[in-house]
Amino acid sequence: MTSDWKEIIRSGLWTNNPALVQLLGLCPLLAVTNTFINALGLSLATLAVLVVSNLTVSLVKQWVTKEIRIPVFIMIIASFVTIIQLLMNAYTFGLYVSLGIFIPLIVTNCAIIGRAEAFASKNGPLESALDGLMMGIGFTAVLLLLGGAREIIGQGTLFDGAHLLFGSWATDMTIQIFEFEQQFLLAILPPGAFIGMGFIIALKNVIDNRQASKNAAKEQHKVERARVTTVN
Amino acid sequence: MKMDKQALDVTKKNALLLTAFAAVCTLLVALTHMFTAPIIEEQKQQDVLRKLTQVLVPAKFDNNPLYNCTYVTDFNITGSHDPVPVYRATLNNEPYAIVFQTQTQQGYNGRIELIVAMNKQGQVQGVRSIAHQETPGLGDKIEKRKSDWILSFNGLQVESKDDPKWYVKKDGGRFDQFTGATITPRAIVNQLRESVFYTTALFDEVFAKPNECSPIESPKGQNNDK
Repeated sequence: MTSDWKEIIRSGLWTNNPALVQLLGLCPLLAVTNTFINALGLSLATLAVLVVSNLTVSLVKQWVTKEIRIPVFIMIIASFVTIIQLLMNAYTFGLYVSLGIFIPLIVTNCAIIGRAEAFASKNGPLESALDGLMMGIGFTAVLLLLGGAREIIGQGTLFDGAHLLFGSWATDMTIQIFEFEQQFLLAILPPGAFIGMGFIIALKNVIDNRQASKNAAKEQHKVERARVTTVN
Repeated sequence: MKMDKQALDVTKKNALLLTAFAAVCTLLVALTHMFTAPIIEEQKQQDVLRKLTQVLVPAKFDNNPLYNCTYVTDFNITGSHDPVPVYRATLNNEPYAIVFQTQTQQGYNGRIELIVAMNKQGQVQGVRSIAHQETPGLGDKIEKRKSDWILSFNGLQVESKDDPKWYVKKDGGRFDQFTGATITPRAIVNQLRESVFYTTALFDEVFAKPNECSPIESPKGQNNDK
């Protein structure tokens, strides 16, 4: 049981990260990561939808027949996205305006229907909720990394527009890291997102390869020792 | 025959299931909508009010312009063929300024929406860009938070329909363009020249019209922001 849970956590955060490995949901990922706060707003909304939709799908899976499962899943996801959209419109109006079309577009984030179909429709409610949470956090982490990097490189600030998410007390949260006359356009515009994303995936692969070669070295070491003992 | 009946049963069951799920989902969304609708309406109002107070000089009016408006349909002024709310600010019930939204399609990347306030003499009290898709780092200097350029209209009047001063410097006028971006400021300057000129003549007429935004009945036709 506990090893299952560990596996779910590892899978969502690293080995099967929706953004870095499954490469799902790239449209919002690339579009809204021009600032840290935009990335945070969209990823929190996505995370909430993932958890609730995974949980719901898992709870109703015994009543849903094979033929109609996809329309039912889509209906569940679309309803939750609409609900979140209404709530954001009501409580985080500025952020709602700034994210615009990308909130309703969470419906089309394949990571969500993907998890409903691949995981939640086959596992219990608790595991499914955890899977949704971990996938969501994995997605969030990549968005924040990309959003933060693009904001710093592109306009030299961090947390610009924090008041849109947290209210007026956060107006002074913006950190001016450095100032320049002309913003670095490449980082702010969509190509910057693709390039940044490429670097993050490359970084993950480097870490994975290093880990793999370390493990291989360990194994070799073991084998050597084994041989020594047998010779003796 | 028997097979057909079985298939029919499965279909029936699935149809019923889908209907049930649709009903529950719709119910959830409807409930959320009922709960959030008044808050969203309030937020939109606050948003309009924030924009109104940005372009007006605070000391010069004492009413809530949000609840004092009339609808104007005039392409020359609003850049739109639909009725657009024009808000009226007063001081001691004396006309001070009118605030209207206008738009131009001549931006580098399509439509630019503006909100403008002007007083009885036709002097611009303030201009802000509300919505645009201009290039970040170049054309987006029309935003107040990026640059003070949008303040350069304050206190100015349009003296004739083709006021030679009311152009960007590249076209022989008085307004700066941005390095690397002339189209965006040119679009705004040209739209404002038209709008402000035609509104100056219409000022008294706008104030004479009845109020269509009184607080009792909620204002219809909210600004069409997303």
